[in-house]
Amino acid sequence: MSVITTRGRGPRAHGCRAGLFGLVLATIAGCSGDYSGNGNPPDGVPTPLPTTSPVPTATPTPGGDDLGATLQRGAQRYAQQCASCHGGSGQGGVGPALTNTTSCPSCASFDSLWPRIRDTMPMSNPGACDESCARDVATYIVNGFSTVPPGGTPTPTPSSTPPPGATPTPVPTATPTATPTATPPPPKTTCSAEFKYPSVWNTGFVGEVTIHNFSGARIDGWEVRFTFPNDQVVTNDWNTVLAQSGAAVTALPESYNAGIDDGASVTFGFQGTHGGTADVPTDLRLEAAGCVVETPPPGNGGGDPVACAEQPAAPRLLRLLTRREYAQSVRDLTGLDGDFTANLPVEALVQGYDNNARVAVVTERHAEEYLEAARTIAERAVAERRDALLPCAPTEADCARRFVEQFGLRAFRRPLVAAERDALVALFDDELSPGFDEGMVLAITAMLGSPAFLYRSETGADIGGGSYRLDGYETASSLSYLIWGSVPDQALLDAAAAGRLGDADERRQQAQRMLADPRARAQFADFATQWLGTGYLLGSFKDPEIFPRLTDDVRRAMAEELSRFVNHVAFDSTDGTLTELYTADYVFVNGPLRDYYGLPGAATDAAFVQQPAGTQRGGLMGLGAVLAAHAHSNESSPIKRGVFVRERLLCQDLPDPPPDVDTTPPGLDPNLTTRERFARHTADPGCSACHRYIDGTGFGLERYDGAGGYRSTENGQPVDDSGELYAREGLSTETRDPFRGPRELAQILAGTTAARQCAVTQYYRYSHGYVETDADRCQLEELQARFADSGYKLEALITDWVGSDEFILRRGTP
Amino acid sequence: MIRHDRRRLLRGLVHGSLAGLPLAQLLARSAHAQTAAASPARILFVYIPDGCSPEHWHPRGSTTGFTLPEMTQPLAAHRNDLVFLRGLNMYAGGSTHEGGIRKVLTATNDVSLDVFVGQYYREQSAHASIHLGVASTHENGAGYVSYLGSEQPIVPEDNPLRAFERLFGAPGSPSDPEARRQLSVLDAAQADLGRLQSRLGQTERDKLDRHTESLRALENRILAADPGSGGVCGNPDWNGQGWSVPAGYNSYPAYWNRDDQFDSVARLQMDLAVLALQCGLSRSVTLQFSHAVSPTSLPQIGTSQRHHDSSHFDANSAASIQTFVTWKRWYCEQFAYLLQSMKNAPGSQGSLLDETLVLLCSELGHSARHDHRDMPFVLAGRGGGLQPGRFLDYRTANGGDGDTHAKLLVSLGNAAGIPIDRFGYTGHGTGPLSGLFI
Repeated sequence: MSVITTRGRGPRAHGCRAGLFGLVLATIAGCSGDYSGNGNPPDGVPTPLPTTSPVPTATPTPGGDDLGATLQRGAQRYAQQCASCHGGSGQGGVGPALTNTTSCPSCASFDSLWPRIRDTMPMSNPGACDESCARDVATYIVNGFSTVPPGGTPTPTPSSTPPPGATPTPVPTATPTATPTATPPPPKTTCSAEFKYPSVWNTGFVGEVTIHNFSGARIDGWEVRFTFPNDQVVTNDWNTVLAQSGAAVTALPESYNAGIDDGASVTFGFQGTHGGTADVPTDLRLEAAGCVVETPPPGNGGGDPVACAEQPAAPRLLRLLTRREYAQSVRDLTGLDGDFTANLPVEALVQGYDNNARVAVVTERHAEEYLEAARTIAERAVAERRDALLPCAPTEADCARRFVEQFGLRAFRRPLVAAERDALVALFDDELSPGFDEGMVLAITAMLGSPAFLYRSETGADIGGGSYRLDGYETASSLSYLIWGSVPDQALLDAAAAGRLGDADERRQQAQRMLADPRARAQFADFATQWLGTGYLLGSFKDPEIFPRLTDDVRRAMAEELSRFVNHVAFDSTDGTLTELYTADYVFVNGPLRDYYGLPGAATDAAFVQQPAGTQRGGLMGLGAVLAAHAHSNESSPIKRGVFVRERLLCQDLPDPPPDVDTTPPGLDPNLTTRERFARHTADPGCSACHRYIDGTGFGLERYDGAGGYRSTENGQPVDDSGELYAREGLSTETRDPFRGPRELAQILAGTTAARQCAVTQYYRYSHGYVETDADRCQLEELQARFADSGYKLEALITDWVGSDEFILRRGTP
Repeated sequence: MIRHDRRRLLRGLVHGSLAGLPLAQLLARSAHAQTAAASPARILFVYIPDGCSPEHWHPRGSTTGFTLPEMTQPLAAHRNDLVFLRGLNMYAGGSTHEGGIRKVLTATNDVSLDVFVGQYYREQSAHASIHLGVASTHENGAGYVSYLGSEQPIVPEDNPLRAFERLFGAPGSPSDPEARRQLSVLDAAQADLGRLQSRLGQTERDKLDRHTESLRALENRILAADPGSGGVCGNPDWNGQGWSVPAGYNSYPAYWNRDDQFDSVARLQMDLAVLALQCGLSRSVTLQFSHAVSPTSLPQIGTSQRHHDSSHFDANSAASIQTFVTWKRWYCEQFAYLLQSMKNAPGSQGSLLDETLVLLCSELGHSARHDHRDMPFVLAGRGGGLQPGRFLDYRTANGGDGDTHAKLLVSLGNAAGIPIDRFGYTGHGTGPLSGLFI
């Protein structure tokens, strides 16, 4: 949205690409051609090249650090994300050379290069390299692929000397509520008004103003004034009596919306024309008796030093419950069995995770399905669990209030504020709820339909310096959803109420306690399933003619095997390390899976037992779930498996095939093995530039078919399972590690720094519900170092993380 | 379940605190909602996966004297309802399948055109935009065509029974006790959202704004419910075959996502899309068949290859191409069925197709090359004054590079009554696609 509020943000404060209709608005409003600030140049529109060389001294990077550090970061990022296609020194490869302006016109200048990188690179995932990343990389490229500043001395490499500011500085936990500045607090806001354009086109617009009342009381009557900055003329309006005089507009209420209840809002709108530009007014003013309108927020000066950088990495987020979290929360809140989420929209996956907070938005369909699910749950809860859920007899005075407070505390994961409580209690008195039970149904429906239930808040309170700290209840939720995937229990809520969760040791102890609960095992299995991408195994089609042995029972057993195995390593084994996860020489199987794997023992027994893995199974890579999930429905896939190792286990993302390259894979040939058909990838230099990172890994797993079963022949020919892991520590390295089969591959992987760091990165993504950016690097490095200190203990990965300051700190929106 | 008796003709009593809503702006759900033929086009966006072989897809010949090659041949019976577009490219944004599906309806804009059109008319329709899928969520690691905001996809509803319930499930009168209870719950949720917004200021504002809009849309629908409307929109004739999920089905994947249900579900979702347009439930309906890198297998059409596998045809092998041709012909047959249904459905004057535009699109041009050139766009209908029966070739535009599909999106927006002159990418100029609307 292009929005301003009475909080005083300027009309351009959100840049040119700022939301729902932002682009249309922005381009019309004259943003195109203005790339100097936050603007975003349209792709393909030539950026005027400066006549003088702008690089690199004229290109301060955000944060204002020195050029040497910028080049160092740029070099690192280039090696990780660019070198595989453009060559280690920009000499070109599968991608064009970056050393001349014929093959790379954007390389002519820093100013033309960095937006192109930001908007289109890496090709597989444009946007992954944000502005600061793009500026770093562009600086490195225009500096001739050297980390030596012009006329300067070489900067030390980061491995030997961490850059200044990277050294973690623990937050003093004893000062949880220190107010950072001496500035007197601004007056408490009790009302606000905001202006937005839901749509703007070349000659017209629709505008909207929304007034919120948070004053604690009803207001009667309001007045909104603003001045159009351009030549907008209102031609039509609704829900207001609007008068325009020149550019000045005064909007008064209609009779029916003059009064605004506490907590409520009113929106009025208008339509009009403009002469080519429609900027948002900057002087919007709201007047209403009893309202205080917020003054602009104080600057973010001073404040506590925080770990790693000046600011924490993680943004403040509202995290919509996933269907899984919703289901488990409902179960724990109500004690009901049953799946109430069948109709809720499927999550869009980001980097394989279903809990990405950025993409999870409540559409109209969500809203409707939430409402209906809430209603169904509420009716069943009252019919089946009423007495268990009530702290009192319905006939007792005040029972409605007591129920609302108790259930609300658990559903909202915090005590209700008075307005919430009163609104819910009022549902019992409504003439629509003739009896206590009807009121209870309505109150539960309202609570489960509330954003306070549907989102878990990780927004925190301002502690200065642009940092925010989660409050005790938010922390309780973060712990419980990370470790259980569900609502906090009473012990966590008590610790929150007592203010104990700001203490790192307390959080660690809570985590230890929680890990003993069976829900923690289901949750850790959920992480492993999303990390390893094995969720597809249960949802996907496998050709029953080709894989008749992969019955539903076997599929379920594979999923169960994965769950039992990862939990055993993490929580039961005396070793308990990532190394064991990779290299274990035992499996957990039941009869059908034992039979499927060809292991000795009873073939029908339903119980899972631990037994020796033999030579064909064992460890992460030997799991049927992993091998079957990363394969086709009708054949194995060396490519999918190679990409899986590269991206999921080593966190080395590969670019997609470039456009205009014929990516036709070899056709099915009954006389050739899969490996033989894919040999072209290594023969053709256009393919091998990327596929050398992929295929060799997959080839080493070729003795496992598309359903995870073992085979020694394919199409009548013996399967060659000699594989090679190329460049294990990064795409710019050139190591070669030959291996055969999953056990040998796992042995190599387990010893790599890349795999050890990647496990932390993946857990961090899962925990935070977002994909890390450059801002997270320091924090991740610190967590990775702690993981190493623990000897790569999986349980320590969890407890160290929740015990870190960063677990409860968030970064304010710039 | 929404429990209402839709037979009651009541719309007088409105829940107290909502009395101010401009009911006049809310169109009732009924066939009468259709206005004059001159009104802006409604648009049906139909996505099919994995591109084409341009040589086997695009017509040969002149603007009006053209023949259809193997892939599009099943559309021959409807050629006078169609405009075939050739030489349109998708520029900028990401590459390959994933980049293509993100930009086919966005042209790198944050919001996709289907959502944009729907939002523009959101006060005039029961649903801003409607998003139906055929196994679109099944093994989908490649994304969706519709976007509410930057990188915020709208995931289509794949379960046709549930989609029907949502669109045509009986809403009652707003004065029903049940509706009033729903409204009171919505009221509470909106009040909670308001408190959250006031606490967070600009943080997560977009997310909360969208949530608020979604609740408001739901509320408007309850308030505008017109239980009196009968006929095709009151008692839609749909799912005459009685398709259902077998009792006790507990296998993989979800029943409606199974390959052996794909054609049945496709038929149901197409019928539902037509009904939704016919009944004026929205100005913008999107139907996403499968998804990029489509794993669908339909042995009954004569090929054992999965869709995406077949799209990587070997250009030197006639047999290899034939498999992909078989697939594309199947999709064109589905499209022909859809067009025929729209011709059979009455509009305010002619047929529904006369006042609608249908866009057939995919995320790739040449499937085996994974490019975004010479995209297989086909338009159908006469909405917005489109004159069908033509083949428009843009390959010579821009010095022989072809033209941008962003202009096609602008043209569609204009036809829907929205006077935009750009949508997303502008690197090859602004304005509508020349010669499309004449």
